[in-house]
Amino acid sequence: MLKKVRQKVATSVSKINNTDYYEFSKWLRLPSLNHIEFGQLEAELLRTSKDIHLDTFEIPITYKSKFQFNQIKVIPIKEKLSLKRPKAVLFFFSIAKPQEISFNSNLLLSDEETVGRNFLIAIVTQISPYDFTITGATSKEHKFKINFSEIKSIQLLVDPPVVIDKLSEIQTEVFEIELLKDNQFTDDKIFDLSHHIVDVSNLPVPEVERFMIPGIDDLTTHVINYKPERLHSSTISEVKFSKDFRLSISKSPKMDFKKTSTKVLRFAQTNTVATKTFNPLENKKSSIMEKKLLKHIITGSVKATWEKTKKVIPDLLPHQEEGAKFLADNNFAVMAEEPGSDKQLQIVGALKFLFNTSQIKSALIIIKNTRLGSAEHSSRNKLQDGLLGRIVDYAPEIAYTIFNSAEKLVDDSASSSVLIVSYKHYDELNSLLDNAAINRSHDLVIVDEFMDSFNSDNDIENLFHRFYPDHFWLLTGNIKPESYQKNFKDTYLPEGQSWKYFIRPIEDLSDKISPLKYSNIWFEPDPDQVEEYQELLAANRDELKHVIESLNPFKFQSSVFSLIHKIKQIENFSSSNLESPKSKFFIDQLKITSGNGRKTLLLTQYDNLGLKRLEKVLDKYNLRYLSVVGGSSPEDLKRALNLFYTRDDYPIFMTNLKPARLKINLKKINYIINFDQWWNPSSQWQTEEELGLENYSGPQLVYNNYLMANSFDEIISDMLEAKSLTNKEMFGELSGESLAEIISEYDWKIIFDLSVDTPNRQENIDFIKANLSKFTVDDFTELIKRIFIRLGYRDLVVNELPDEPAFYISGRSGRLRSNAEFRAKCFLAKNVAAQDWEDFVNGKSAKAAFERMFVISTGKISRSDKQLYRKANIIEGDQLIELINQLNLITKDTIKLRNFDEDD
Amino acid sequence: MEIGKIAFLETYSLGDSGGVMGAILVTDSETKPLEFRVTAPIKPTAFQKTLYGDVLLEHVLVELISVPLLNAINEQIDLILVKDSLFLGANAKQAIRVVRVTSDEKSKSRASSKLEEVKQADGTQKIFIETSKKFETELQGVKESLEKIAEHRNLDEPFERLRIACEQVQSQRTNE
Repeated sequence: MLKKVRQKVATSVSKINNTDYYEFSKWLRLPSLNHIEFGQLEAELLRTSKDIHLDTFEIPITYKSKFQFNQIKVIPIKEKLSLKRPKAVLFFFSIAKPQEISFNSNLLLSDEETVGRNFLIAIVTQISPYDFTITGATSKEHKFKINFSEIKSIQLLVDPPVVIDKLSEIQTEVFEIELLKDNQFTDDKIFDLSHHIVDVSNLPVPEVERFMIPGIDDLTTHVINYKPERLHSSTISEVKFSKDFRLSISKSPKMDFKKTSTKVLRFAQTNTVATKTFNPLENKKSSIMEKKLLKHIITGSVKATWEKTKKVIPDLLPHQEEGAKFLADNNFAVMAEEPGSDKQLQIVGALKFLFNTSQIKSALIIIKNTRLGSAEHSSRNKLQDGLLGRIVDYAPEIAYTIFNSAEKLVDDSASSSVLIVSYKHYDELNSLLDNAAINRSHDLVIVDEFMDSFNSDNDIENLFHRFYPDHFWLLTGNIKPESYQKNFKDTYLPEGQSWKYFIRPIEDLSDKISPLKYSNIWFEPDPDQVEEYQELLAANRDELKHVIESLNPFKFQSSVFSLIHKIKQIENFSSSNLESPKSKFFIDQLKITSGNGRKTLLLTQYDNLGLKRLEKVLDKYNLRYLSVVGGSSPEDLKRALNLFYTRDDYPIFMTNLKPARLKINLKKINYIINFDQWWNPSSQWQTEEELGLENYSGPQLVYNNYLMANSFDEIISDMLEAKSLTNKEMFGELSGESLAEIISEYDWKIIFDLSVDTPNRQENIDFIKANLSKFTVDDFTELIKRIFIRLGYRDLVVNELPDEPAFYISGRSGRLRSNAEFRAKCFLAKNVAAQDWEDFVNGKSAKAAFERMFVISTGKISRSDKQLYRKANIIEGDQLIELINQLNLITKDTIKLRNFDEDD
Repeated sequence: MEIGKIAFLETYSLGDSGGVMGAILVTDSETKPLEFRVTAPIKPTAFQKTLYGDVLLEHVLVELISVPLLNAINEQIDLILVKDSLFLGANAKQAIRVVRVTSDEKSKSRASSKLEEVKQADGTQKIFIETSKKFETELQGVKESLEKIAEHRNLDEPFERLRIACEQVQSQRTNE
């Protein structure tokens, strides 16, 4: 037992495994104890029931019972134990470098005195346990004369060293618990044997006493001042005094210590257990700048340059790459680019570059809510909706958090990846940091459209001092730097840094991108819009189902299409709010574009929840506008347009007129906003044609189509995309009605969220495939002709190719205003080689400007590296079958082709 | 052996009586920093110096620097690179291989029996590695992995970063 305790104690003290070397067993010996006094222990039985019924309990019987004590009170030690005979082994004692003891001057006797035989020189010294040098002898100022012949011995009295025991922190506790004795159970009060009852409340309490082991138990606090036995007076042998009584070290007299004892010294290796490690990058005492410096040091000196490492940010258009490079290369950058250049993608590109080259680890983006977009919607539809959409699509490796609640208290250590905060919540974040006295730093801070909130010198400097970014980018659509450049001072920037400007008007993009920049802008409906939309659908559910099943075109017009009109208006504005997500974004954009002196044309289909509401919104913001409603006279329209073209104070022209009536001069405007585009792609194409956007080649023009996510717009857009109905090359010549017919009853039910039985689509496909395989070239020619008729073409001409399962077909659009024509080469073959069709597409044609090229095959169509000079619409294998199915040309009811007259 | 994360372990002497500071820099295979930690300065007393004698420095480097620092880091590392041969003693204390990097072909330590050359892509500076005799069979695998890294990174350079960072930490502490 003792051995085990010793072993345990000894190994806990030291981490050195090699116990033999230190011989712990010799160090520690439990001293014998001469007196122990126990205190009292209070305890009670867990079971307090007085009715413990025992089986036959007769005297004399041995009765064993186990009790568990739920409360133990340890009485403090009353008496300190004293050591009787401590034993120890001498661990060391050598004087490493004794100080020379000089008797020279002090021991010279005066002429008057004579040293007697028993004259003793007391040398008092002190030995520190951590310093093995004798600190020096005290001297006695006494002059005497030595008569050498009389001196026989000099007694050296050495004061014993003060020894301090520092055995490290061990908390061994030893308890003695008094066992209950038999006679304590014989009390009648406890055991009522006649009734076999035990009254536990009267049971005696055993006593528990804690042992105190001096030198072990109280190691952390206990210091034993132990005086070893006084050193005996020693005799000096071989004393060879020089003439001047100088003692050299080498001639130090030997001292015989007859008997000495001391306590073991434990030189605690406190460092072994106490080495403190810490993370200097999170040291709360260091300033942000100090941490940044440290971070910079450990990051190494290799700075990635854009040219060398731009492979980490692929697929940017040249003008976007130019902007992203500017941001990445300049730590303190102001980027001014007009709406339409896609600043957000350039930010994300630069962000991706800095993250992927480890130049930054955290970023903060302050952005307007209207420009945030939706990551979910973007992932769902594989598009880039707002900033979030661009991050998830283009830089999915960047993790971001959107700050929108005071609950998320952010501290310095939490600054990982990208934190996005809207202007709406920025003040909240700011006060949160203030209140919690948090110094939060970000490697990069981006402020999108900074002029809305940070438009003074102080704002920008305060923002810098709030986050101490290494990179600080401020973006705006305002390309007139004179209005804000004065606010940017270099004084507070790190040494050698200065603000760099990148200002690019939209005209500068003309040689880099197509003159017409077309983009869909998606919005999330506000809660009121969602509610109204759902209420509308619920109220019309039954009627809709009935109308859709009837497939009566007139009923469709009156019911389904009028419902869609209602939905489109809700998507514009809810009835209860003056503003909506669409209008807020529009106002933000208009403020910027009008500031740049740009003109915007806004088209809407609606009056109350369109034009009139927009007028109210513009009034609210004191923005001047020109608005022309349907039914205005041609003179009024002309006058308004003239005003719009010539007057700088009218930045916006709004109308619900058909574009065909408008006859707008595209060269005089810069932005077109389609506030509520009709669902049918054919209508969109018509608008574009009427505005003259086809083959547009004037100054840079930006066309924005406003659409609503999580709503009808998104559902129908998905549907049209899935059916390729947005492919103008393919379906561009169809009238709106014909295109609507391609959408089946089943599809409409899906759009309006009506319960449906899934049609067996695969069965149809298999059926078409089986029949197509039996087709002759003549059958195939007939089928292709019908396809093009259904697609809106007329005057079809077929040129058969002798000895080949292929033919050419051409025709022109059946629409009045369209001058589109098509030429196609069609193959009834499993594989079509590249040379069989590429020359056909590349062939020169006088009508190339408005001619569409198709290559159609029942099998696969191969492609070579040869460059194609014109766009070719390739329809092969399954795509052809899908198209036949969509157009309902081969059905299960009959294997015969449907008879479609050209007049149909 | 695939090396994903490397720990660079180094000491920094704080002058006359300031003691010695240990520092660890965990990086990815591109030597981009992931984690950085230092120890508080370790100042052996005169007494400890006497008692430990020749083994004091090894004790400090292994027990008081390597072990606490390796315990303190959060990253899972694959290899520990050191410059001081005394750190090789840490091989016996934990499971991650400690390998010494040196540019001096003749500076083989007593703990190992051979030096392996790690071919650097630019070939300007020769780099050799060694480890404790017991683990020398693993050295070939380590060498091959390090050669991949050495194609585009100088294995000596992070130690320089550590040195400057320690200097910086020390000056920050002094200012506190």
